[in-house]
Amino acid sequence: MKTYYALRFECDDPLHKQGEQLFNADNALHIGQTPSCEVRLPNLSQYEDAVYAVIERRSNGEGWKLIRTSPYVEHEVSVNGTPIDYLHLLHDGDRISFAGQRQELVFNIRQDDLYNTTGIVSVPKSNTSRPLVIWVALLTLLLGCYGLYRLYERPMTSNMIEKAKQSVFQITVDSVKLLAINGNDTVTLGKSHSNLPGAGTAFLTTDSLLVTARHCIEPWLNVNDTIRMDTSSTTIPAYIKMALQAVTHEMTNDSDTVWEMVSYCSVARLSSGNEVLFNVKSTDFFMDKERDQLVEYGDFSHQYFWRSISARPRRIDMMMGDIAFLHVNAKGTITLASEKEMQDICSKPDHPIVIVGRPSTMVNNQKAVSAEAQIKQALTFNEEGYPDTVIFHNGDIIPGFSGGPVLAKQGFKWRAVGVVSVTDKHGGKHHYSVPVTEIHRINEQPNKNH
Amino acid sequence: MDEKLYAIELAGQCNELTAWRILKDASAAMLDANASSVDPSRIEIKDDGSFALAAPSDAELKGFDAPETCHGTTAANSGVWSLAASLFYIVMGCQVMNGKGGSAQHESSRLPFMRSTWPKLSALIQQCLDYHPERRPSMQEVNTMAAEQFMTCSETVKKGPKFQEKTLDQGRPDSDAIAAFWPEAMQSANK
Repeated sequence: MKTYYALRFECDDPLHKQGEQLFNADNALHIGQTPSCEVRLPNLSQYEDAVYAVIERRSNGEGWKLIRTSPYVEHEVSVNGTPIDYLHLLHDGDRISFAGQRQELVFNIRQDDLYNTTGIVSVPKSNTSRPLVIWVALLTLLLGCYGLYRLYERPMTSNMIEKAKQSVFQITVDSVKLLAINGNDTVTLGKSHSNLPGAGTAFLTTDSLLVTARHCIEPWLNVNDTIRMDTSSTTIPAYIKMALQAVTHEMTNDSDTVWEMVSYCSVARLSSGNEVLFNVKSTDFFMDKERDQLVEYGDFSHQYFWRSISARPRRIDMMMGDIAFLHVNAKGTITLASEKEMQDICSKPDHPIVIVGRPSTMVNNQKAVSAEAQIKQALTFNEEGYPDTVIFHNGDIIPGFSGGPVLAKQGFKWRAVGVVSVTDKHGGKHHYSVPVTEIHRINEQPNKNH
Repeated sequence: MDEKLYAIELAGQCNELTAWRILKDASAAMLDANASSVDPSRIEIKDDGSFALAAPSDAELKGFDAPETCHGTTAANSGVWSLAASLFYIVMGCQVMNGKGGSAQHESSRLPFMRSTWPKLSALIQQCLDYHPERRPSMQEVNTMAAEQFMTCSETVKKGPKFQEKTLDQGRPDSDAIAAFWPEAMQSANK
């Protein structure tokens, strides 16, 4: 039997679950925020990604050591609550913590047959031994009826969340073009593939819809004060300038030529564009542009217009237009809530929900992550039974979650009720998601906008 | 610390600030002891974060003697070569001269340059590893430069790490402009 060590994650973070473990013996194990780290920790700070520490075999081959690799106090590493200067010889039971991180790692030395390889082995939560699993199964059988009742009342199970994650992908805008279209003639007036926003999330439904937030595929819609700046400023990204030109041309020009912004996106199973499933254009998507507001800026000598999906009279009306969907030739695992299910789920505050997304800092080959949250305000519905506001909820949403599904359970069923749209900084963890019933409403319109 | 720790345990994972500290403290200790050789297993990490020279032992590592020492003579700057080779090992995780140490060095051997991102330290170590003892800086010069650079590096580290470069968006819209549209306080969600 080999002597090895186990690192156990003591709490949930955006990248790990409490109870997850890593087994290792001879490989250098880097702990930090960079994609190359074997133990990746989230970077929610304003600083660049850092490598906090490395665990390696000691130079004499006996035991392991933890070496602190960054000299900054912002990246301090502590063992059992005591900061280390350079290195620490690890002992069984040592708790390793990092400045600015909630996560704590517990180091245990083991000798058994659970680790018989040369690589680093990742063990999901709950690596119970077989006899314990058998006892749990027997207990569940004996408590069958009670267990079913509890299942009915429980929030989404981890199996449901894992099933949902299979249909959650990363959507990235690879390039943007400004086209001038006159009948069958199309001229490219401008194109840009630099300074584009980071990736968002898209998900696939059981009725073959690829759903995302509209701002994920039309990134020029992101509301930002830079549009109030001088449009000749070089600090405004090229694609924003192109969007300004497109809308201003629409508002000030009577010609038959239409100026249209198009983004070219890839939908990938893994981050960094690996396993691209679809290549799509923003103009392929259905969306409702009737809620858009055209905002006028500038002056008589320099007038320009901006298309906004946020300028609504009430905060809870805003971003209702921030949804887009597309029929694809594939079937997913996420079912959209019907109007009735929406009313059952979203009429009560504090109903538990799960938000699934693909953080833009995710390493390759990692699945989507989820965050548990609650609905904070009951939805109101119009006469036709559709919600007339966005869903207001909390949750640990991190960059890249835009466009991701908001899932909720009712009885034995779980459904997608919303699409992550926007966060309001002023209220702390206050987030707004577009009700998925907007898709049903858009589908019923005779002239769905592209 | 119950067990004594030595700088050899940092091999390959040392940051620049620590490297300058090792060079500063070890060169001062070698000046005090008038030592002509050292290896990474003899640079002790003290409880206060400084580095000290431990006494030679039977378990000395090989490959850290200057080339002239390997050939039977000891020069005034042999210790400088030995210290530089030790620091090279601590920073790079391998011995100089393709892992073979001073005995493999000859007059036309190419002098190693550790890291382009640490130009001053790398240039100093390169100078210290010169085959000719008279071309190497003295231990006092090494100590003076290491002390200066350690201070400079410490000041830089105190300013904190580099900030992330901000792009316009990270996949989530910023709400700064939302406040611009609605400067009034948000309606409370708790009724």
